[in-house]
Amino acid sequence: MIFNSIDFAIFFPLVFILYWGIFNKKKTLRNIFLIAVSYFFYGMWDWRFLSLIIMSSSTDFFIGKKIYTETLNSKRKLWLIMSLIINLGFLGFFKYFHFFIDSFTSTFALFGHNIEPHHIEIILPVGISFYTFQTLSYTIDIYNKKIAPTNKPFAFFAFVSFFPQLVAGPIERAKDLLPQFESLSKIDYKQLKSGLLLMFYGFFKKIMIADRLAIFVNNAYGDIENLDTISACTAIVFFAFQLYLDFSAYSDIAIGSSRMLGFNLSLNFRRPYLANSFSDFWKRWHISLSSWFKDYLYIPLGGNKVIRTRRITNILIVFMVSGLWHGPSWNFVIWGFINGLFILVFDSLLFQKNSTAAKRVFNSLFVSVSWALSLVFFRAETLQDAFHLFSSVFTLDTKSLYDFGLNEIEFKFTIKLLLAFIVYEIILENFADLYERFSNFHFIFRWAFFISVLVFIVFYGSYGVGLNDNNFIYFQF
Amino acid sequence: MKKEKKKNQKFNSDTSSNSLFLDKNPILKIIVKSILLILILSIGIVVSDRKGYFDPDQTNNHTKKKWDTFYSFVEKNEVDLLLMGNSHMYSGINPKNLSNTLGLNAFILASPGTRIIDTYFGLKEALQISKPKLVVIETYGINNFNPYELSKQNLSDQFKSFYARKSLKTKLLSTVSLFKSDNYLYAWSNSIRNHEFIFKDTTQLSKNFLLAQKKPKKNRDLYLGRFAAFNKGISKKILAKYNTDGAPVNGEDYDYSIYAEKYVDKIVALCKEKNIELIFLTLPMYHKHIENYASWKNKLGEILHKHPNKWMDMQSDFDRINFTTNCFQDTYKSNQHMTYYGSLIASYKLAGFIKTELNIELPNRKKEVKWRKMFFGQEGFFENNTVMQDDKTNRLLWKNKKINGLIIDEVSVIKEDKKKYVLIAKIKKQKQDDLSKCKLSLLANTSNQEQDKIVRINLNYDKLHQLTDQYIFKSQLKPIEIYNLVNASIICN
Repeated sequence: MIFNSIDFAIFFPLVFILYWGIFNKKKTLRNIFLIAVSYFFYGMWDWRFLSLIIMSSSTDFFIGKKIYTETLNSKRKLWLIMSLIINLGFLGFFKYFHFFIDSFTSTFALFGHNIEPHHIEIILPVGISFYTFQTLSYTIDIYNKKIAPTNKPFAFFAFVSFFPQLVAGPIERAKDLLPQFESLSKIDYKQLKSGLLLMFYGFFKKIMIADRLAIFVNNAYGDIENLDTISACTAIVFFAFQLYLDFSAYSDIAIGSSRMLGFNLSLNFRRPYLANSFSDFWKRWHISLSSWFKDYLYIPLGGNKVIRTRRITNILIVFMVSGLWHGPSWNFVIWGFINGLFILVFDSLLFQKNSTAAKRVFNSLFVSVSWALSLVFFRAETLQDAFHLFSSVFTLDTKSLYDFGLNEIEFKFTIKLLLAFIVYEIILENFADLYERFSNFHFIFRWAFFISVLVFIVFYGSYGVGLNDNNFIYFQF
Repeated sequence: MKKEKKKNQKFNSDTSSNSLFLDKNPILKIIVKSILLILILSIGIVVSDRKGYFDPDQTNNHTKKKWDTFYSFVEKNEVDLLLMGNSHMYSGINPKNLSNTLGLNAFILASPGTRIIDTYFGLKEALQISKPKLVVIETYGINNFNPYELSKQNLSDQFKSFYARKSLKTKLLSTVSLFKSDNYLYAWSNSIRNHEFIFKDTTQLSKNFLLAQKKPKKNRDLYLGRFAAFNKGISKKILAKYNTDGAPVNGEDYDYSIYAEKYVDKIVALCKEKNIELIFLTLPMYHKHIENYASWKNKLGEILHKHPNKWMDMQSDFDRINFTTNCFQDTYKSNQHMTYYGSLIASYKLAGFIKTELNIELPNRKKEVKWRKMFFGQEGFFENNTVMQDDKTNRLLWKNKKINGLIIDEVSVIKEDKKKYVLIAKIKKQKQDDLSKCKLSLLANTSNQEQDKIVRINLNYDKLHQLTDQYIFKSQLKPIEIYNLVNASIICN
C-alpha cells in the first residue's frame, strides 16, 4: 500500500478510529492491533515477504536478550555477529546477490575467465533496507550497553513493523521509539492537528510538485541521447528537487500519521538545500540514515579520533557504503564516493563559520548544485547514461523544453510552484514558529486556506489514470 | 426582546457546550473537522461534475443520453424488449424498426467499448426500474478482458459507461468489481478524472464552461438508444485488401477470460431470478472480414451452451444475399460495425428469430393508441403497421385484395413531406413464391395538374424491410392524387 492511494485513504482513517476508539486501552491489545494493521499494510505488496519481517523481528528479540544476559564478552560478540549475519544475510541475498555475482564475473572476465553464472529471479522486498537497519540498531545498542532489551515481544514486533515508517523510514532507534510501544499513547488536539497538517503538507509536496517533476525527469532520462544543454540542466535540477520533495513528502506523511496515532518519529529532513556546507547538508538530508551510518559505521571505524589519512578513508568508506545501501549498482557507489569527496575537498577549503548572508547564499547554491550534479549517478540507469547526460550539458541544440511530458502551460506552472516552494523553505528557515503564527489566524482564514489548497490539489495535482510516476522513489531501496 | 435574548442565551449555551464537548474529545474534534473539510471539497467536485466542466465530450455524449432517456422513458412506458451490449449492438440493431416489427417497446442500453461485466451491472440497474419480457445480450463483450485493466487511459469507455449510469446504489456496489481501487475516484468524478484539461485541453474546458451556462434543449424526438455511427458501406479498396491481405480478424485468436464466463453466468442467473427470457445475439462482420469463425464460435459456445438460453448467431449463419457490402463499416480494423443499412436487415432477422424461435408471449401494442401515437411516422412504422381509415395524412388505397394470384394485404400512400410521397404495397408471402427479385406493377386512376388519367406505377422490392410474412414494395411518388387502384401484377425477370 502506498500513501498516495485510495487504499491508504480508506485504511488510515479506519485504523485511526479503531485505534483510538477500541484498541488503545491496553498496551498488549494496542500493540497486537498495530502489528496486525502493519502486516496488512505491508502484505498489500506481497504477503510472502512478511515472513522476512517476522523472522528478522524474532531473531533480534531473541538475540537482544541473549546479548544482554550473557556475561562473557566473546559470547556477547558471537550473538551480535549472528544478528549481523542473519539481518545482513537477508539484505545481501535479496538486494545484492546479482550485484555481487555480476561484479565477480566482470572481474574474472577482465582476466580472461568467462563465467556464465546461473541467474535466479529474486524480488526485492519493499523496505528491507529500512527495517533491517532499524532492528540492527537494537541489537548493536544492547551490545554497546546503551539500552536494555525489551521483555515485551508485541511491543518489539510493533516497533519493527510500525506501518508509517516500515517501508521508507525514518529509521528509528530503539531507545527513542521502543519505549513508546511500551506505554499507552496519550493524545492532545494540538498533536493530532499538527500530525494531520504534516500529512497534508506531504501529500501537497508529492502530488503537486514531485510527481510533476517526475514526468519531465523520467522522459529526459528515458531519452538521454537527445538532450541538449538546457534540457539536460533542467533534468538535473528537476531531479534534485523531485528527490527531496518526494522523499521528504514520504517522511512528512510517515511522521504525521505516526503523530496521529500518538507516536513521535524523528525528523528526517531539515531544508537541506539551505545548507551552509556539505557537512551541514548531511545533518539536514535523510537525517535518520546519516546518523545511523555515523553511529554504527563511522564512529566504530574510529570517527574523528584517528589520523588524517585514516579519517579520509573512513569518510569515503562510509559514503560508499551509504551509496551501496541505496541500491546494488556502481552508480550508487560512485554517487556516495563523490559526496564523500565533496566533504573532504570543499568543506575545509570553502566553508567557514560565521559567514555573511551573501556567502551563505553562495554556499547553499554551491552545495545544492554539486549535490544535484552528483545525483546524475543516482538517477541514471547505468554509468554510460550518467556520462552521456553530462556530455549532453555541452550539446548545443534547440530542443524544446516542452517535449518532455510537460506542455508549456504545465512547465511554467511547475517552475512557479518550485519558486514558491523555495521561498517557503527560506521563510521557514528564518521563522521556526510559522505554524504557531498560522494557528493564531482567524478560523475563517485558516479554513479558507485549507479548502483552497485542497481544491488546488484536486484540480491542479499531478495524478491521473495510468500515471505510473507516482510511486515514492525511496520505496525501491 | 426577552424571548430573543433567551433564545440567544440558549443558542450560546448550546454551542459552548458543543464546543466544550468537542474540546474534551480531541479525536472526535479532528474527525468532525476532517469530515467537514472533505464534505466542502466534495460539494465543489459534485457541482463541477453536474455542470460538466470536465466532461470529455458534452456535445456527443450518447452513452449518457441513453441512460437519461431510459430513465425518463420507463417513467411513462414499459420496456418490453431490452437490448444490451456495446457499439455493435447500438449500431447493428435499429430499435424503432424492431419495435414497429414486433409491436412493442424495444430499447437499446449499450455503451461503446464495454465488456460483459459492464453489461451485467448495467442490466442490473435497468431491471431495477423496468421489467422487460425479453433481454437480448450482444456477445462481442464476452472476450478476454480483465476488469482492472483500462483501455485508453482516462478516456476509457469503461469510465464513460459507468459514469452514465444513474443509480447510486448499483454504481456503488459495482465499483469494486469494475475498477481497481486506484480508479474509484476517477470512475465517480469526471472532474477528478479529467482535471488535467486545465493543462492539456483548455479548448474542451472552455467549451464545457460555455455549454454549462446554456440551458439544455428539450428534445422531443423518440430516442430508443440507437447511435448511427456508420453509413458508408465497404469500399472497393477494402474489398481488394481482403483479397490481397486476407481477413483482418482470425477466429482462432478469440478467447475469453474467467471474468467473462463469470458475468455471463451472472446475467443468466439474474434473468432467471427475475423471470425474464434471455437470448444472446452475435451480430455479423462482413464474411471476408473474419476467418476461422468456427473456432471463435466453438470457444464462445463453451460459455453460452452451458445455459439453456438461445443464441442467434448471424455471423455463423451469414446471409450472403442480404448482408451485402453496404451493410458493413468501411474499415480493415478488427472491430467492424454495421451500417444503417445493415442494422435494418439485422433488426428484421432478429425480429424473425424472436417470433419463430422463442416460446414466449410478447405484448402486441399495435392497437394501443398510446403506442401508435409514439411510433407513428417513426422508422419502419408504415412498413409494419396498417394505415388507419381515419388517417388524415396518409391514405389506405387497398386492403386485403386478391388479384392475379397475389394476396395484397395493403397498399397505401404515405406522405413523407410536402413534396414527397411514398407508395407502399404489402404482399403476403406464399410458400411457392420468391418475389424478392420482382417488381410490382400497379394501375391507378390519378389526377395530375387537373388531368385525370390511368397511369402505371412500378414499385421496387424493398430489401431493407424484410418482414417474415410480407413482401414490401415501394415507389417514390410525385405529388399526384391517386383516386383508386385498378389492377396489380408482378413483373419478374
